[in-house]
Amino acid sequence: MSPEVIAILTIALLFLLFLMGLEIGFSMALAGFVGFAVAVNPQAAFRLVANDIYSVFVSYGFTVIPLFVLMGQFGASSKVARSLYDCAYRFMGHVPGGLAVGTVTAATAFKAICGSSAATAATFASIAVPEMDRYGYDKRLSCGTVATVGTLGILIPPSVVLILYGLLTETSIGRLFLAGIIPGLIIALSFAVTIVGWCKLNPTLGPAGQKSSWKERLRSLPDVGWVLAIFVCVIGGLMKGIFTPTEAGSIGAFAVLILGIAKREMTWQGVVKALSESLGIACMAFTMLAGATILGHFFAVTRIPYAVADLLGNAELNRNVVMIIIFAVYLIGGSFIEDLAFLILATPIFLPLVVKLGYDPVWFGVIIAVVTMIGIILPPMAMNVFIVSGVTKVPIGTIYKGIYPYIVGMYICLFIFLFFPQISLWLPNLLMK
Amino acid sequence: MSCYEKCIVGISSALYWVARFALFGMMLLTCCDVFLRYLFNRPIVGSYDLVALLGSVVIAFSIPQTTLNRGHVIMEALTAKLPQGTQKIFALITGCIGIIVFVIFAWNLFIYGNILLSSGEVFPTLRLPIFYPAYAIACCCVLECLVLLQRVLQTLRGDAAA
Repeated sequence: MSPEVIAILTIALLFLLFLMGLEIGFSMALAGFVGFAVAVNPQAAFRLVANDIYSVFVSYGFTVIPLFVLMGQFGASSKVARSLYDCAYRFMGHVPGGLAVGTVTAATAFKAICGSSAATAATFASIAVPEMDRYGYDKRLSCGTVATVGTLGILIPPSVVLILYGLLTETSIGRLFLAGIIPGLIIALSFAVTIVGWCKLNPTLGPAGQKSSWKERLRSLPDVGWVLAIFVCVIGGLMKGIFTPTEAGSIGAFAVLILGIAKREMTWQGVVKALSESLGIACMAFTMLAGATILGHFFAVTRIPYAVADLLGNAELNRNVVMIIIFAVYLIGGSFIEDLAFLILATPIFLPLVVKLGYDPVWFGVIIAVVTMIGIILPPMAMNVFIVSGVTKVPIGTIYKGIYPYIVGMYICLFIFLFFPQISLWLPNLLMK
Repeated sequence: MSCYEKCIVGISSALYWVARFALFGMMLLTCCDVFLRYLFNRPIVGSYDLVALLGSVVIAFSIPQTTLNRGHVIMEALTAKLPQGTQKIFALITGCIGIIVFVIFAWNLFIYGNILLSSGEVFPTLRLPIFYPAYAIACCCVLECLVLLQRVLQTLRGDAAA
Protein backbone atom coordinates (compact mmCIF):
# COMPACT_ATOMS: atom_id res chain seq x y z
CA MET A 1 0.00 0.00 0.00
CA SER A 2 1.39 3.42 -0.92
CA PRO A 3 1.96 6.01 1.86
CA GLU A 4 -0.74 8.25 0.33
CA VAL A 5 -3.38 5.48 0.49
CA ILE A 6 -2.39 4.64 4.08
CA ALA A 7 -2.66 8.35 4.97
CA ILE A 8 -6.11 8.70 3.41
CA LEU A 9 -7.37 5.53 5.17
CA THR A 10 -5.92 6.77 8.48
CA ILE A 11 -7.63 10.15 8.11
CA ALA A 12 -10.88 8.30 7.32
CA LEU A 13 -10.41 6.19 10.48
CA LEU A 14 -9.71 9.36 12.47
CA PHE A 15 -12.96 11.02 11.36
CA LEU A 16 -14.90 7.81 11.95
CA LEU A 17 -13.61 7.77 15.54
CA PHE A 18 -14.51 11.47 15.92
CA LEU A 19 -18.03 10.84 14.62
CA MET A 20 -18.54 7.89 16.94
CA GLY A 21 -17.85 10.19 19.89
CA LEU A 22 -14.42 8.93 21.01
CA GLU A 23 -12.39 11.62 22.76
CA ILE A 24 -10.46 13.71 20.19
CA GLY A 25 -7.07 13.13 21.84
CA PHE A 26 -7.62 9.35 22.08
CA SER A 27 -8.79 9.28 18.43
CA MET A 28 -5.66 11.05 17.18
CA ALA A 29 -3.42 8.73 19.19
CA LEU A 30 -5.18 5.57 17.98
CA ALA A 31 -5.32 6.65 14.32
CA GLY A 32 -1.65 7.70 14.42
CA PHE A 33 -0.68 4.40 16.07
CA VAL A 34 -2.61 2.25 13.55
CA GLY A 35 -1.33 4.30 10.58
CA PHE A 36 2.27 4.09 11.81
CA ALA A 37 1.94 0.32 12.40
CA VAL A 38 0.77 -0.16 8.80
CA ALA A 39 3.21 2.32 7.25
CA VAL A 40 6.31 1.18 9.19
CA ASN A 41 5.74 -1.86 11.46
CA PRO A 42 3.76 -2.66 14.63
CA GLN A 43 6.89 -2.93 16.81
CA ALA A 44 7.98 0.59 15.82
CA ALA A 45 4.44 1.86 16.45
CA PHE A 46 4.40 0.43 19.99
CA ARG A 47 7.73 2.09 20.74
CA LEU A 48 6.53 5.35 19.16
CA VAL A 49 3.45 5.51 21.40
CA ALA A 50 5.45 5.13 24.62
CA ASN A 51 8.19 7.49 23.48
CA ASP A 52 5.77 10.23 22.39
CA ILE A 53 3.62 10.07 25.53
CA TYR A 54 6.73 10.17 27.72
CA SER A 55 8.27 13.07 25.78
CA VAL A 56 5.04 15.14 25.95
CA PHE A 57 4.25 14.40 29.61
CA VAL A 58 7.80 14.68 30.97
CA SER A 59 8.77 17.92 29.28
CA TYR A 60 9.90 21.14 30.92
CA GLY A 61 8.81 23.15 27.86
CA PHE A 62 5.22 21.88 27.96
CA THR A 63 4.76 22.82 31.65
CA VAL A 64 4.11 26.34 30.39
CA ILE A 65 0.51 25.26 29.58
CA PRO A 66 -0.78 24.42 33.10
CA LEU A 67 1.02 27.44 34.58
CA PHE A 68 -0.46 30.04 32.22
CA VAL A 69 -3.86 28.34 32.56
CA LEU A 70 -3.45 28.60 36.35
CA MET A 71 -2.65 32.30 36.05
CA GLY A 72 -5.92 32.83 34.19
CA GLN A 73 -7.93 30.71 36.61
CA PHE A 74 -6.54 32.62 39.60
CA GLY A 75 -7.60 35.79 37.80
CA ALA A 76 -11.09 34.37 37.26
CA SER A 77 -11.39 33.07 40.86
CA SER A 78 -10.35 36.36 42.45
CA LYS A 79 -12.46 39.44 41.78
CA VAL A 80 -9.91 41.16 39.55
CA ALA A 81 -12.38 41.13 36.65
CA ARG A 82 -14.99 42.88 38.82
CA SER A 83 -12.50 45.65 39.70
CA LEU A 84 -11.56 46.15 36.05
CA TYR A 85 -15.20 46.24 35.04
CA ASP A 86 -15.98 48.80 37.77
CA CYS A 87 -13.17 51.02 36.49
CA ALA A 88 -14.34 50.82 32.85
CA TYR A 89 -17.93 51.39 34.02
CA ARG A 90 -16.92 54.60 35.87
CA PHE A 91 -15.34 56.05 32.75
CA MET A 92 -17.79 54.93 30.06
CA GLY A 93 -21.06 53.93 31.71
CA HIS A 94 -22.79 57.28 31.02
CA VAL A 95 -22.63 57.15 27.20
CA PRO A 96 -25.11 55.13 25.05
CA GLY A 97 -23.72 51.59 24.76
CA GLY A 98 -21.05 52.65 27.25
CA LEU A 99 -21.49 49.63 29.52
CA ALA A 100 -20.86 47.33 26.54
CA VAL A 101 -17.78 49.36 25.53
CA GLY A 102 -16.73 49.20 29.18
CA THR A 103 -17.10 45.41 29.07
CA VAL A 104 -14.80 45.28 26.01
CA THR A 105 -12.23 47.52 27.74
CA ALA A 106 -12.35 45.57 31.02
CA ALA A 107 -12.14 42.23 29.21
CA THR A 108 -9.16 43.47 27.17
CA ALA A 109 -7.38 44.44 30.38
CA PHE A 110 -8.44 41.15 32.03
CA LYS A 111 -6.96 39.24 29.08
CA ALA A 112 -3.58 40.53 30.14
CA ILE A 113 -3.69 38.03 33.00
CA CYS A 114 -6.25 35.46 31.82
CA GLY A 115 -5.64 33.50 28.62
CA SER A 116 -8.81 31.43 28.82
CA SER A 117 -11.63 32.38 26.47
CA ALA A 118 -14.23 30.32 28.32
CA ALA A 119 -13.23 31.69 31.76
CA THR A 120 -13.51 35.30 30.50
CA ALA A 121 -16.91 34.70 28.88
CA ALA A 122 -18.24 33.05 32.07
CA THR A 123 -16.73 35.74 34.34
CA PHE A 124 -18.12 38.70 32.38
CA ALA A 125 -21.46 36.96 31.82
CA SER A 126 -21.91 36.97 35.60
CA ILE A 127 -20.50 40.49 36.18
CA ALA A 128 -21.46 42.63 33.17
CA VAL A 129 -24.79 41.17 31.99
CA PRO A 130 -26.70 41.84 35.27
CA GLU A 131 -25.36 45.42 35.25
CA MET A 132 -26.43 45.95 31.63
CA ASP A 133 -29.81 44.38 32.47
CA ARG A 134 -30.22 47.01 35.22
CA TYR A 135 -29.90 49.81 32.64
CA GLY A 136 -32.26 48.12 30.17
CA TYR A 137 -29.69 46.92 27.64
CA ASP A 138 -31.01 44.67 24.89
CA LYS A 139 -30.05 41.01 25.55
CA ARG A 140 -28.62 40.72 22.03
CA LEU A 141 -26.13 43.48 22.80
CA SER A 142 -25.27 42.48 26.38
CA CYS A 143 -24.94 38.71 25.84
CA GLY A 144 -23.44 39.05 22.35
CA THR A 145 -20.79 41.37 23.77
CA VAL A 146 -19.71 39.08 26.64
CA ALA A 147 -19.64 36.01 24.36
CA THR A 148 -17.47 37.89 21.85
CA VAL A 149 -15.04 39.63 24.21
CA GLY A 150 -14.12 36.26 25.68
CA THR A 151 -12.38 35.44 22.41
CA LEU A 152 -9.84 38.26 22.86
CA GLY A 153 -7.77 35.99 25.12
CA ILE A 154 -6.95 33.82 22.12
CA LEU A 155 -4.87 36.65 20.68
CA ILE A 156 -3.87 38.90 23.55
CA PRO A 157 -1.02 37.37 25.56
CA PRO A 158 -0.72 35.20 27.60
CA SER A 159 -2.84 33.19 25.16
CA VAL A 160 -3.07 29.41 25.66
CA VAL A 161 -3.80 29.01 21.93
CA LEU A 162 -0.60 30.86 20.99
CA ILE A 163 1.35 28.77 23.54
CA LEU A 164 0.00 25.55 22.00
CA TYR A 165 0.77 26.84 18.50
CA GLY A 166 4.31 27.74 19.60
CA LEU A 167 4.88 24.29 21.12
CA LEU A 168 3.45 22.51 18.07
CA THR A 169 5.46 24.49 15.53
CA GLU A 170 8.56 25.18 17.65
CA THR A 171 8.00 28.92 17.23
CA SER A 172 9.17 31.37 19.92
CA ILE A 173 6.34 31.89 22.42
CA GLY A 174 7.76 35.34 23.29
CA ARG A 175 7.57 36.45 19.63
CA LEU A 176 4.06 35.03 19.32
CA PHE A 177 2.92 36.90 22.43
CA LEU A 178 4.31 40.19 21.11
CA ALA A 179 2.82 39.55 17.66
CA GLY A 180 -0.64 39.11 19.21
CA ILE A 181 -0.74 42.43 21.08
CA ILE A 182 -1.43 44.94 18.25
CA PRO A 183 -3.90 42.70 16.33
CA GLY A 184 -5.65 41.98 19.66
CA LEU A 185 -6.02 45.68 20.41
CA ILE A 186 -7.23 46.37 16.85
CA ILE A 187 -9.91 43.69 17.20
CA ALA A 188 -10.91 45.09 20.62
CA LEU A 189 -11.22 48.50 18.93
CA SER A 190 -13.38 46.94 16.21
CA PHE A 191 -15.70 45.63 18.97
CA ALA A 192 -15.99 49.12 20.48
CA VAL A 193 -16.66 50.66 17.04
CA THR A 194 -19.33 48.00 16.38
CA ILE A 195 -21.09 48.81 19.68
CA VAL A 196 -21.01 52.58 19.11
CA GLY A 197 -22.24 52.20 15.50
CA TRP A 198 -24.96 49.73 16.51
CA CYS A 199 -26.21 52.00 19.32
CA LYS A 200 -26.20 55.02 17.00
CA LEU A 201 -28.45 53.10 14.59
CA ASN A 202 -30.69 51.83 17.39
CA PRO A 203 -30.32 53.87 20.61
CA THR A 204 -32.77 51.64 22.53
CA LEU A 205 -30.20 48.81 22.47
CA GLY A 206 -27.89 50.38 25.04
CA PRO A 207 -29.31 53.30 27.08
CA ALA A 208 -26.86 55.54 28.92
CA GLY A 209 -26.08 54.72 32.57
CA GLN A 210 -25.22 56.96 35.54
CA LYS A 211 -22.34 59.40 35.23
CA SER A 212 -19.56 58.89 37.80
CA SER A 213 -17.62 61.71 39.43
CA TRP A 214 -13.90 62.14 38.69
CA LYS A 215 -13.17 61.18 42.30
CA GLU A 216 -14.91 57.81 41.77
CA ARG A 217 -13.10 57.33 38.48
CA LEU A 218 -9.64 58.01 39.88
CA ARG A 219 -10.32 55.76 42.88
CA SER A 220 -11.01 52.83 40.54
CA LEU A 221 -7.70 53.17 38.66
CA PRO A 222 -5.18 51.39 40.97
CA ASP A 223 -6.58 47.92 40.17
CA VAL A 224 -5.92 48.48 36.47
CA GLY A 225 -2.37 49.51 37.41
CA TRP A 226 -1.74 46.22 39.23
CA VAL A 227 -2.99 44.15 36.30
CA LEU A 228 -0.84 46.15 33.87
CA ALA A 229 2.18 45.78 36.17
CA ILE A 230 1.78 41.97 36.20
CA PHE A 231 1.34 41.94 32.43
CA VAL A 232 4.44 44.07 31.81
CA CYS A 233 6.47 41.96 34.28
CA VAL A 234 5.45 38.64 32.67
CA ILE A 235 5.66 39.66 29.02
CA GLY A 236 8.65 41.97 29.53
CA GLY A 237 10.58 39.27 31.42
CA LEU A 238 9.81 36.76 28.69
CA MET A 239 10.74 39.20 25.93
CA LYS A 240 14.05 40.20 27.54
CA GLY A 241 14.99 36.58 28.20
CA ILE A 242 14.87 37.05 31.99
CA PHE A 243 12.34 34.20 32.32
CA THR A 244 11.65 31.05 30.34
CA PRO A 245 7.95 30.77 29.32
CA THR A 246 7.41 28.31 32.21
CA GLU A 247 8.94 30.78 34.68
CA ALA A 248 6.86 33.61 33.23
CA GLY A 249 3.70 31.52 33.74
CA SER A 250 4.71 30.72 37.34
CA ILE A 251 5.56 34.33 38.20
CA GLY A 252 2.31 35.52 36.60
CA ALA A 253 0.19 32.92 38.45
CA PHE A 254 1.92 33.71 41.75
CA ALA A 255 1.51 37.47 41.24
CA VAL A 256 -2.22 37.15 40.48
CA LEU A 257 -2.63 34.88 43.52
CA ILE A 258 -0.86 37.40 45.77
CA LEU A 259 -2.93 40.26 44.29
CA GLY A 260 -6.13 38.33 45.02
CA ILE A 261 -5.01 37.53 48.60
CA ALA A 262 -3.81 41.10 49.26
CA LYS A 263 -7.16 42.50 48.15
CA ARG A 264 -8.93 39.81 50.24
CA GLU A 265 -10.72 38.62 47.15
CA MET A 266 -9.16 35.15 46.96
CA THR A 267 -10.56 32.42 49.21
CA TRP A 268 -9.24 28.91 49.90
CA GLN A 269 -12.16 27.55 47.87
CA GLY A 270 -11.18 29.89 45.04
CA VAL A 271 -7.61 28.55 45.06
CA VAL A 272 -8.81 24.92 45.00
CA LYS A 273 -11.32 25.72 42.25
CA ALA A 274 -8.63 27.46 40.17
CA LEU A 275 -6.27 24.50 40.60
CA SER A 276 -9.00 22.01 39.66
CA GLU A 277 -10.10 23.96 36.58
CA SER A 278 -6.48 24.37 35.49
CA LEU A 279 -5.83 20.63 35.81
CA GLY A 280 -8.91 19.81 33.73
CA ILE A 281 -7.96 22.24 30.94
CA ALA A 282 -4.28 21.25 30.98
CA CYS A 283 -5.08 17.53 30.97
CA MET A 284 -7.47 18.00 28.05
CA ALA A 285 -4.82 19.96 26.12
CA PHE A 286 -2.02 17.48 26.92
CA THR A 287 -4.13 14.48 25.85
CA MET A 288 -4.70 16.20 22.51
CA LEU A 289 -1.03 17.20 22.25
CA ALA A 290 0.09 13.61 22.90
CA GLY A 291 -2.40 12.35 20.29
CA ALA A 292 -1.31 15.04 17.82
CA THR A 293 2.36 14.15 18.40
CA ILE A 294 1.73 10.47 17.58
CA LEU A 295 -0.38 11.43 14.56
CA GLY A 296 2.25 14.00 13.53
CA HIS A 297 4.95 11.32 13.49
CA PHE A 298 2.72 9.17 11.30
CA PHE A 299 2.18 12.13 8.92
CA ALA A 300 5.94 12.68 8.88
CA VAL A 301 6.67 9.13 7.66
CA THR A 302 3.97 9.39 4.98
CA ARG A 303 5.21 12.93 4.10
CA ILE A 304 1.58 14.06 3.71
CA PRO A 305 2.15 17.68 4.89
CA TYR A 306 4.83 18.08 2.22
CA ALA A 307 2.57 16.49 -0.42
CA VAL A 308 -0.17 19.02 0.54
CA ALA A 309 2.42 21.81 0.33
CA ASP A 310 3.57 20.63 -3.09
CA LEU A 311 0.01 20.17 -4.36
CA LEU A 312 -1.23 23.63 -3.36
CA GLY A 313 2.17 25.27 -3.88
CA ASN A 314 2.39 24.03 -7.47
CA ALA A 315 -1.25 24.83 -8.29
CA GLU A 316 -0.18 28.34 -9.37
CA LEU A 317 -2.77 29.95 -7.12
CA ASN A 318 -2.21 33.37 -5.65
CA ARG A 319 -0.78 32.86 -2.16
CA ASN A 320 -3.54 34.96 -0.61
CA VAL A 321 -6.11 32.67 -2.24
CA VAL A 322 -4.30 29.67 -0.74
CA MET A 323 -4.45 31.37 2.68
CA ILE A 324 -8.19 32.01 2.28
CA ILE A 325 -8.65 28.29 1.45
CA ILE A 326 -6.72 27.44 4.63
CA PHE A 327 -8.94 29.82 6.69
CA ALA A 328 -12.03 28.13 5.23
CA VAL A 329 -10.66 24.69 6.16
CA TYR A 330 -10.03 25.86 9.74
CA LEU A 331 -13.46 27.47 10.04
CA ILE A 332 -15.32 24.48 8.58
CA GLY A 333 -13.20 21.99 10.53
CA GLY A 334 -13.63 24.02 13.71
CA SER A 335 -17.40 24.03 13.19
CA PHE A 336 -17.51 20.26 13.58
CA ILE A 337 -14.65 19.57 15.96
CA GLU A 338 -13.73 21.87 18.84
CA ASP A 339 -11.65 24.75 17.40
CA LEU A 340 -8.62 24.15 19.60
CA ALA A 341 -8.63 20.44 18.71
CA PHE A 342 -8.81 21.26 15.01
CA LEU A 343 -5.95 23.74 15.37
CA ILE A 344 -3.79 21.02 16.97
CA LEU A 345 -4.78 18.56 14.25
CA ALA A 346 -4.45 20.80 11.17
CA THR A 347 -1.53 23.13 11.95
CA PRO A 348 1.27 20.57 11.43
CA ILE A 349 -0.32 19.70 8.05
CA PHE A 350 -0.56 23.28 6.79
CA LEU A 351 2.56 24.83 8.28
CA PRO A 352 5.02 23.47 5.64
CA LEU A 353 2.77 24.95 2.93
CA VAL A 354 2.59 28.32 4.69
CA VAL A 355 6.38 28.42 5.07
CA LYS A 356 6.80 27.36 1.42
CA LEU A 357 4.57 30.28 0.39
CA GLY A 358 7.01 32.58 2.15
CA TYR A 359 4.95 33.51 5.20
CA ASP A 360 6.37 33.91 8.68
CA PRO A 361 5.19 31.14 11.10
CA VAL A 362 4.71 33.83 13.80
CA TRP A 363 2.34 35.73 11.51
CA PHE A 364 0.52 32.48 10.66
CA GLY A 365 0.09 31.83 14.39
CA VAL A 366 -1.62 35.21 14.81
CA ILE A 367 -3.83 34.65 11.77
CA ILE A 368 -4.85 31.19 12.96
CA ALA A 369 -5.61 32.66 16.39
CA VAL A 370 -7.97 35.19 14.75
CA VAL A 371 -9.63 32.37 12.75
CA THR A 372 -10.02 30.41 16.01
CA MET A 373 -11.57 33.52 17.63
CA ILE A 374 -14.19 33.60 14.90
CA GLY A 375 -14.70 29.82 15.13
CA ILE A 376 -15.38 29.97 18.87
CA ILE A 377 -18.46 32.19 18.36
CA LEU A 378 -19.54 30.89 14.94
CA PRO A 379 -22.40 28.34 14.90
CA PRO A 380 -22.81 25.39 15.27
CA MET A 381 -19.87 24.78 17.70
CA ALA A 382 -19.89 28.20 19.38
CA MET A 383 -18.44 27.32 22.76
CA ASN A 384 -18.57 30.86 24.19
CA VAL A 385 -22.23 31.26 23.20
CA PHE A 386 -23.08 28.03 25.04
CA ILE A 387 -21.25 29.25 28.15
CA VAL A 388 -22.94 32.67 28.18
CA SER A 389 -26.31 31.05 27.56
CA GLY A 390 -25.65 28.66 30.46
CA VAL A 391 -24.72 31.49 32.86
CA THR A 392 -27.38 34.04 31.83
CA LYS A 393 -30.19 31.62 30.81
CA VAL A 394 -30.68 33.68 27.63
CA PRO A 395 -31.64 31.56 24.58
CA ILE A 396 -28.74 30.67 22.26
CA GLY A 397 -30.61 32.14 19.25
CA THR A 398 -30.78 35.58 20.92
CA ILE A 399 -27.03 35.53 21.65
CA TYR A 400 -26.26 34.53 18.05
CA LYS A 401 -28.17 37.63 16.86
CA GLY A 402 -25.89 39.69 19.08
CA ILE A 403 -22.59 38.26 17.79
CA TYR A 404 -23.08 38.62 14.02
CA PRO A 405 -22.15 42.37 13.94
CA TYR A 406 -18.91 41.57 15.77
CA ILE A 407 -18.10 38.73 13.38
CA VAL A 408 -18.26 41.17 10.44
CA GLY A 409 -15.67 43.34 12.20
CA MET A 410 -13.48 40.31 12.94
CA TYR A 411 -13.52 39.24 9.29
CA ILE A 412 -12.49 42.75 8.22
CA CYS A 413 -9.61 42.64 10.75
CA LEU A 414 -8.61 39.16 9.52
CA PHE A 415 -8.24 40.41 5.97
CA ILE A 416 -6.32 43.49 7.12
CA PHE A 417 -3.88 41.22 9.00
CA LEU A 418 -3.65 38.95 5.94
CA PHE A 419 -2.68 41.74 3.57
CA PHE A 420 -0.54 43.68 6.07
CA PRO A 421 1.62 41.12 7.94
CA GLN A 422 3.72 43.96 9.37
CA ILE A 423 0.83 44.77 11.77
CA SER A 424 1.57 41.49 13.54
CA LEU A 425 5.32 41.35 12.97
CA TRP A 426 6.32 44.95 13.71
CA LEU A 427 6.40 44.60 17.51
CA PRO A 428 8.31 41.26 17.71
CA ASN A 429 10.76 42.47 15.04
CA LEU A 430 11.29 45.71 16.95
CA LEU A 431 11.73 44.20 20.42
CA MET A 432 13.12 40.70 19.76
CA LYS A 433 15.62 40.91 16.94
CA MET B 1 -22.76 3.15 43.57
CA SER B 2 -20.98 -0.22 43.66
CA CYS B 3 -17.84 -0.89 45.68
CA TYR B 4 -15.82 -0.97 42.44
CA GLU B 5 -17.12 2.46 41.38
CA LYS B 6 -16.48 3.91 44.84
CA CYS B 7 -12.87 2.66 44.71
CA ILE B 8 -12.31 4.11 41.22
CA VAL B 9 -13.83 7.48 42.14
CA GLY B 10 -11.89 7.57 45.42
CA ILE B 11 -8.51 6.75 43.85
CA SER B 12 -9.07 9.21 40.98
CA SER B 13 -10.03 11.95 43.46
CA ALA B 14 -6.95 11.22 45.62
CA LEU B 15 -4.68 11.41 42.57
CA TYR B 16 -6.35 14.68 41.57
CA TRP B 17 -5.40 16.13 44.96
CA VAL B 18 -1.80 15.02 44.41
CA ALA B 19 -1.92 16.73 40.99
CA ARG B 20 -3.28 19.93 42.61
CA PHE B 21 -0.38 19.99 45.08
CA ALA B 22 2.08 19.20 42.28
CA LEU B 23 0.79 22.13 40.21
CA PHE B 24 0.92 24.50 43.17
CA GLY B 25 4.37 23.19 44.08
CA MET B 26 5.56 23.63 40.50
CA MET B 27 4.51 27.27 40.62
CA LEU B 28 6.17 27.91 44.00
CA LEU B 29 9.36 26.07 43.06
CA THR B 30 9.79 28.04 39.83
CA CYS B 31 9.11 31.36 41.58
CA CYS B 32 11.61 30.56 44.36
CA ASP B 33 14.18 29.54 41.76
CA VAL B 34 13.75 32.84 39.86
CA PHE B 35 13.91 34.97 43.03
CA LEU B 36 16.94 33.14 44.42
CA ARG B 37 18.69 33.29 41.05
CA TYR B 38 18.25 37.02 40.52
CA LEU B 39 18.35 38.29 44.11
CA PHE B 40 21.01 36.04 45.67
CA ASN B 41 22.63 34.42 42.63
CA ARG B 42 21.73 31.05 44.20
CA PRO B 43 19.35 29.14 41.89
CA ILE B 44 17.77 25.92 43.13
CA VAL B 45 19.85 23.10 41.69
CA GLY B 46 17.74 20.60 39.76
CA SER B 47 14.66 22.85 39.59
CA TYR B 48 14.49 22.37 35.80
CA ASP B 49 14.31 18.58 36.21
CA LEU B 50 11.94 18.82 39.18
CA VAL B 51 9.52 21.00 37.20
CA ALA B 52 9.52 18.48 34.33
CA LEU B 53 8.93 15.68 36.84
CA LEU B 54 6.11 17.60 38.59
CA GLY B 55 4.64 18.41 35.17
CA SER B 56 4.28 14.70 34.43
CA VAL B 57 2.56 14.21 37.82
CA VAL B 58 0.22 17.16 37.12
CA ILE B 59 -0.96 15.73 33.82
CA ALA B 60 -0.82 11.95 34.36
CA PHE B 61 -2.49 12.06 37.79
CA SER B 62 -5.36 14.22 36.51
CA ILE B 63 -6.28 11.99 33.53
CA PRO B 64 -8.70 9.63 35.39
CA GLN B 65 -10.56 12.48 37.16
CA THR B 66 -10.75 14.51 33.93
CA THR B 67 -12.39 11.49 32.26
CA LEU B 68 -14.80 11.12 35.20
CA ASN B 69 -15.61 14.86 34.88
CA ARG B 70 -16.15 14.43 31.10
CA GLY B 71 -13.41 17.01 30.62
CA HIS B 72 -11.95 15.64 27.39
CA VAL B 73 -13.05 17.13 24.07
CA ILE B 74 -15.43 15.00 22.01
CA MET B 75 -17.38 15.65 18.83
CA GLU B 76 -21.04 15.39 19.76
CA ALA B 77 -22.52 16.83 16.57
CA LEU B 78 -23.57 13.44 15.16
CA THR B 79 -24.06 11.23 18.19
CA ALA B 80 -26.33 13.76 19.98
CA LYS B 81 -28.84 13.54 17.11
CA LEU B 82 -29.03 9.72 17.12
CA PRO B 83 -31.77 7.70 18.88
CA GLN B 84 -31.05 6.70 22.50
CA GLY B 85 -30.42 3.04 21.62
CA THR B 86 -27.86 3.88 18.93
CA GLN B 87 -26.19 6.39 21.25
CA LYS B 88 -25.82 3.62 23.82
CA ILE B 89 -24.21 1.28 21.27
CA PHE B 90 -21.78 4.03 20.20
CA ALA B 91 -20.97 4.77 23.85
CA LEU B 92 -20.19 1.07 24.42
CA ILE B 93 -17.99 0.87 21.32
CA THR B 94 -16.07 4.09 22.11
CA GLY B 95 -15.70 3.02 25.76
CA CYS B 96 -14.16 -0.31 24.64
CA ILE B 97 -11.90 1.46 22.10
CA GLY B 98 -10.80 3.86 24.85
CA ILE B 99 -9.88 0.89 27.07
CA ILE B 100 -7.85 -0.65 24.20
CA VAL B 101 -6.06 2.68 23.62
CA PHE B 102 -5.05 2.96 27.28
CA VAL B 103 -4.07 -0.73 27.52
CA ILE B 104 -1.68 -0.06 24.60
CA PHE B 105 -0.39 3.09 26.35
CA ALA B 106 0.07 1.38 29.73
CA TRP B 107 1.67 -1.77 28.36
CA ASN B 108 4.18 0.10 26.22
CA LEU B 109 4.99 2.62 28.94
CA PHE B 110 5.82 -0.25 31.31
CA ILE B 111 8.10 -1.71 28.60
CA TYR B 112 9.59 1.74 28.01
CA GLY B 113 10.11 2.12 31.77
CA ASN B 114 11.97 -1.23 31.82
CA ILE B 115 14.21 -0.02 28.96
CA LEU B 116 14.96 3.23 30.83
CA LEU B 117 15.60 1.25 34.05
CA SER B 118 18.09 -1.06 32.35
CA SER B 119 19.78 1.89 30.63
CA GLY B 120 20.46 3.49 34.03
CA GLU B 121 19.72 6.97 32.64
CA VAL B 122 19.17 9.79 35.14
CA PHE B 123 17.91 13.39 35.00
CA PRO B 124 20.88 15.64 34.12
CA THR B 125 21.09 17.68 37.36
CA LEU B 126 18.74 15.96 39.78
CA ARG B 127 20.44 12.56 39.20
CA LEU B 128 17.07 10.84 39.74
CA PRO B 129 16.42 7.80 37.49
CA ILE B 130 14.23 8.79 34.53
CA PHE B 131 12.17 5.59 34.58
CA TYR B 132 10.00 6.75 37.51
CA PRO B 133 7.72 8.98 35.39
CA ALA B 134 7.29 6.21 32.79
CA TYR B 135 6.00 3.79 35.46
CA ALA B 136 3.86 6.52 37.08
CA ILE B 137 2.22 7.44 33.75
CA ALA B 138 1.70 3.74 32.98
CA CYS B 139 -0.06 3.24 36.34
CA CYS B 140 -2.32 6.23 35.60
CA CYS B 141 -3.14 4.69 32.22
CA VAL B 142 -4.17 1.47 34.01
CA LEU B 143 -6.46 3.51 36.28
CA GLU B 144 -7.84 5.28 33.21
CA CYS B 145 -8.72 1.84 31.76
CA LEU B 146 -10.63 1.07 34.96
CA VAL B 147 -12.45 4.44 34.75
CA LEU B 148 -13.44 3.71 31.16
CA LEU B 149 -14.53 0.19 32.19
CA GLN B 150 -16.74 1.76 34.85
CA ARG B 151 -18.28 3.96 32.15
CA VAL B 152 -18.93 0.91 29.95
CA LEU B 153 -20.58 -0.89 32.90
CA GLN B 154 -22.74 2.19 33.58
CA THR B 155 -23.80 2.26 29.92
CA LEU B 156 -24.69 -1.44 30.04
CA ARG B 157 -26.79 -0.82 33.15
CA GLY B 158 -28.40 2.17 31.45
CA ASP B 159 -27.37 4.72 34.11
CA ALA B 160 -28.20 8.32 33.20
CA ALA B 161 -24.68 9.40 34.24
CA ALA B 162 -23.14 7.26 31.47
